Amino acid sequence: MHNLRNLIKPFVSAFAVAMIMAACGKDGDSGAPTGDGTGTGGSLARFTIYGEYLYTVDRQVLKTFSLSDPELPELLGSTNIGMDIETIYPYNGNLFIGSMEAMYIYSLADPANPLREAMATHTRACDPVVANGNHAYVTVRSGTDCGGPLNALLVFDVSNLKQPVQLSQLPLTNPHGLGITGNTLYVCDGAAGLKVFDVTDPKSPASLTHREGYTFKDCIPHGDILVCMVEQGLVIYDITNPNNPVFVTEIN
Amino acid sequence: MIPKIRQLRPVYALLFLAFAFSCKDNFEVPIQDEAWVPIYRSVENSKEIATLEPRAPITGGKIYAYGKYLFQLEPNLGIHVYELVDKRPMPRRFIQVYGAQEIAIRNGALYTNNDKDIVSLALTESGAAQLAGRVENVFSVSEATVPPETGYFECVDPEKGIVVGWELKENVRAKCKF
Repeated sequence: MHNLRNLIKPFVSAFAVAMIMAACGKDGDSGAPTGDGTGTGGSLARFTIYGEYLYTVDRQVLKTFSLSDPELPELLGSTNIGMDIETIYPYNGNLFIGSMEAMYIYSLADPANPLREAMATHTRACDPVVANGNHAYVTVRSGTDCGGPLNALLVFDVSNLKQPVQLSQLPLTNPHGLGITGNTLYVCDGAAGLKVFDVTDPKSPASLTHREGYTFKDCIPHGDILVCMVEQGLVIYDITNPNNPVFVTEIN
Repeated sequence: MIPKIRQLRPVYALLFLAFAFSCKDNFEVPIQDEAWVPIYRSVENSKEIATLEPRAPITGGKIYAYGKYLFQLEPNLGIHVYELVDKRPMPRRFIQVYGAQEIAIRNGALYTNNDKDIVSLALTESGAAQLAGRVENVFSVSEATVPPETGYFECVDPEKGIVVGWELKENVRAKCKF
C-alpha cells in the first residue's frame, strides 16, 4: 500500500527525482567521483542501487546486498524470479525487471526483502524497461538471441502496481535500451537509429524525430546531455531541448 | 542483420552449452579455413584490479553516469572512465577488471563484477580506482561469449579461464558457429 500511495503521487516523485538528479549534478560540479549520491545506470543494467542496497539480477535470480558497509556488500537474500532475467530498473520505490518473457515489478517497501507485485507477460523477446510517473515503457525485440516475433515499444499503465495495463504498442525495427526524461522518451532502435517520442499521452506516443549513423544500444539522459551506448563506443547529444537532440561528440 | 559485436544474451548460454556438448561429443572436430580462437586468462590471474591509461573502446558496453563522470564497460576487460568537460567526455582512465559486465556507483564506491565476484572499488579524485572489498562467487556472468564477428569459432572452454579477446586464425579445428 505504501508504494501504491507513492505511485499515486507522480508529481511529488518526479520532483524528488529531479532533486536527486540535481544533487547528482552538483556532485559532479564539485569535482570528483568521490562525492555523495548514487549514479544513473542504463536500461540494460543488471546492477542497480536504491537507497543503501545493491540489487543484481543474473539469469534467474534477484540478489539483495546491503551497502551499510560500503566496502563490503553483504548478501541479504536471493529471490528466484524466472527465466532469462535481463535488466533491472529502479523507480519510485520499485524495481522493474525485464526478462525475455515478462516485465516484473518488485516493491521495495522493505528494501531488504523485495516483494513481487506484478508480472506482465508478453511475447518472448528481449525487454529493457524504464518508468516515469504512472507508466512503464518496455521495448521488445525479436532476433536470433531473443526468439520472439515482435519488435515494438509497449507502454503500460502501472498506477495499480498489481495490475499493469498495456496502453499502447508501437512497431519498431530492432529496439534495445531506452531512456526517459520528462515527457521525452528515447528509444535505441539499433541500426535504425535513436527514436525520440513525446509521451505526454502515453496511449499514443508521438514520434518527434530520430538520429541515425550508429547502432544504438542504450541511452541515459543526464542533465542536459544524452549519453548513448552505441555498438563501438559512446555518442553524446545535447538535450537542452529534450525533443531535439543535437550531436556533440562521439568516442569510438 | 546480425551486428558484428553484440551484447551477450542468456539464450546464448543455452546455445553455448549445446555447442559445448556437441564439441565434446565430437571426436573429429573439422578444420576450418578460418575461425575465431578465444584468448583466455586464467581465473587465478584475473583478480588483479588496476588503473591504467585510457584506451580506445573496442566494444561499447553498458554505460553509467555519475556526476560529471561517465563510465562505459569494455565487456570482460574493464571500465573506461571519462570526465565530462563542457558536455564532452574526456578519457581519463581505464580500470582493468577482468570479466566485468556491470557497474553501479554510490558515494564514490564503484561496484562491478570481477568475473563471478562482486568487488567494490574506491574512486579517487583523478578517476583512479582501488580495490576496497570483494564478495566471492555471488554473480553469474554471461559466459556465453561469442567472437566479434559471425562465423566458426573454437568452442569456449570455461575450464581455461575468462575469455578476454579473440583472434582470427587459419586452419584451426572449430565446430562452434554463430
